Amino acid sequence: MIRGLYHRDTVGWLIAAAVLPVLAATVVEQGVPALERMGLTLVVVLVWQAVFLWVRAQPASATALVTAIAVGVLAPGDFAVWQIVLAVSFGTVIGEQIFGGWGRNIINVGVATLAFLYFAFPETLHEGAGPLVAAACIPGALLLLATGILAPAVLLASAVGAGVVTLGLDQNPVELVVNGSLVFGLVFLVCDPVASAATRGGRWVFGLLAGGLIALFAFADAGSDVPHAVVFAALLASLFAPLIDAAVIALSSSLRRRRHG
Amino acid sequence: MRQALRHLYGPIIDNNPVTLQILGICSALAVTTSLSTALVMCAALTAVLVSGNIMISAIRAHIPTTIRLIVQITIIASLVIVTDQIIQAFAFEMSERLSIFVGLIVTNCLVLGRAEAFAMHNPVVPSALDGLGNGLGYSLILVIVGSIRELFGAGTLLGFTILPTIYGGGWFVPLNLMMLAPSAFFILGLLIWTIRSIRPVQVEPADFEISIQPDRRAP
Repeated sequence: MIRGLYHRDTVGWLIAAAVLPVLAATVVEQGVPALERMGLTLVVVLVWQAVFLWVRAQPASATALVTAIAVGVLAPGDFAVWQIVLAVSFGTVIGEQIFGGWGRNIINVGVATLAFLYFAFPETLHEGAGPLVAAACIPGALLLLATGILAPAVLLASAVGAGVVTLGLDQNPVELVVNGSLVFGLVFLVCDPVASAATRGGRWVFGLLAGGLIALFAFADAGSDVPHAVVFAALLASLFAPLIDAAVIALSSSLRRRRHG
Repeated sequence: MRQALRHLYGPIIDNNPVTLQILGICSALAVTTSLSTALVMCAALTAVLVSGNIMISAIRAHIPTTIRLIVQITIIASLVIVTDQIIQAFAFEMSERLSIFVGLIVTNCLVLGRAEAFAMHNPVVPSALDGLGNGLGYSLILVIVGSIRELFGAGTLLGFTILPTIYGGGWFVPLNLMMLAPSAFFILGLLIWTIRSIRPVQVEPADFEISIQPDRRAP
C-alpha cells in the first residue's frame, strides 16, 4: 500500500470515488434533507482537517466524503444544525485527528460520529435505508475489491457471520441483504481498510465477529434497529481489531519458531 | 513561608493529582453526573486527605518501616468510616446518591499516595498544606467535570434550571451522553489536552517514535 501509485492519497480518493453512487442513491431515496446533512458534515470535517493541517501539519484526506455520506445514510433523523456540528466535530477530532489523521486512526470517523449521535440524542428516531442504497453500494464495493483496498476475507467473513447468527436466531437473512443501511455499513464502515484487521487470519476472525454482532444487535435486541446495529457492531469490532492482529501475529511467529527451531 | 505555601498551590494546576498524576480517576468518573455529588465527594476527600496527612505526619517517626502501609491504611480507613458516618447522619439522601464511593476513598490512590510520598517524610504543617492543596486540586477537576456534565446532561446546576429542557417545555435538548461514564473520560481527556497545550512541560515523553521514510510520498 505504500509503494508506487498506491500511496495514502490514492487509496483515500478511491474510497471517496467508490462512495459516490451511494450519495446519488441517498438523495433519490431521502430527498433534500439528506443532501443538507451530508453537506454540513463534509464542511465540518474539512474545517477540522484544515485546523489540524495548519496546527500539526497532518495531511487532509478525501475520506471526509465517506464520513459525510455515512451521516447521510445512517442518521436520517431530524437533527438540529448544532447537533450535527457537535457530533461530527467529536467524531473527526477524537476518532481520527488526535491519532495523527486518516490512516492512523483506530475507529472509522463515521462510526465515531454516528455513535455519538445515537448516544447523545436518543430521542431522534432513525429508519433504515432501502434497497436502492444497497444496490448503489455494489459498484463501489467492486471497485474497492478490484483495487485490493477492500479485503475480500473481511467482506465474506462478515456476510457469513451475519448469515449464521441470523439463521441461529431464526430470522430471515434476506431482510439484511435488501437493507441499504446494513450493506452500506458493511462495505464502508466495517470493512474500512484502516479500522479493520489487517492480518490474513485476523481478517476472518474480525469479519465473523463484526457480522455476528450486526445480526445479534439487529434481531436479538428489539429496541435496536439496523442503523444502530451496524454502527455499534463496527465500533466494537474495530476496537478488537488490534488485539486480533496481535494475536494472529503472536500465533504465527510461535508456529514459525516451532517449525524452524 | 513561601516554601510552605508552594505545597498548597503547587498541586492545584502545576502538579494536579488528577490531570498530571492521573490519580483518583474512578471516583472522578463516578460522582460527577451532578455538581452536588461532586462537591460532597470533594469535601469528603479533602477532609480525609488533610486529617490523614496530619495524623500520619505526627507519628511518622514511630511507624516501623516494614508495616508502614498497614498503619497508613488503618488510619485512612478509620477516617473514611467517620466521614461516611457524618454524611449519613447529616445528609442521608446525599449518602444514598454517593452510594459506595465515599467508602471507596480508602482505595483512592491519591490519599495513600500523599501519605506515603509526603506525610511520611515531612513535618505536620507542610503535610497539612500538601493534603489541602491536593484535595483542592482534585476538587477543581471534579467541579469542572461535574458542572459540564450536569449543565449539558440535564440543563441544571446544583438542581437549579439553567437551560430549560424540552421535557420541561424549554428549548434545550439534553445531551444524554453526558450522563454516561464515557463522557467523563472525554471531558477529562480534553481538559488534560488543554492544560498540557498551555504548559508543555507536563507532556510525557513519547513511548514510540514514528519513523518517516524520506523516499516515501505522502506521509
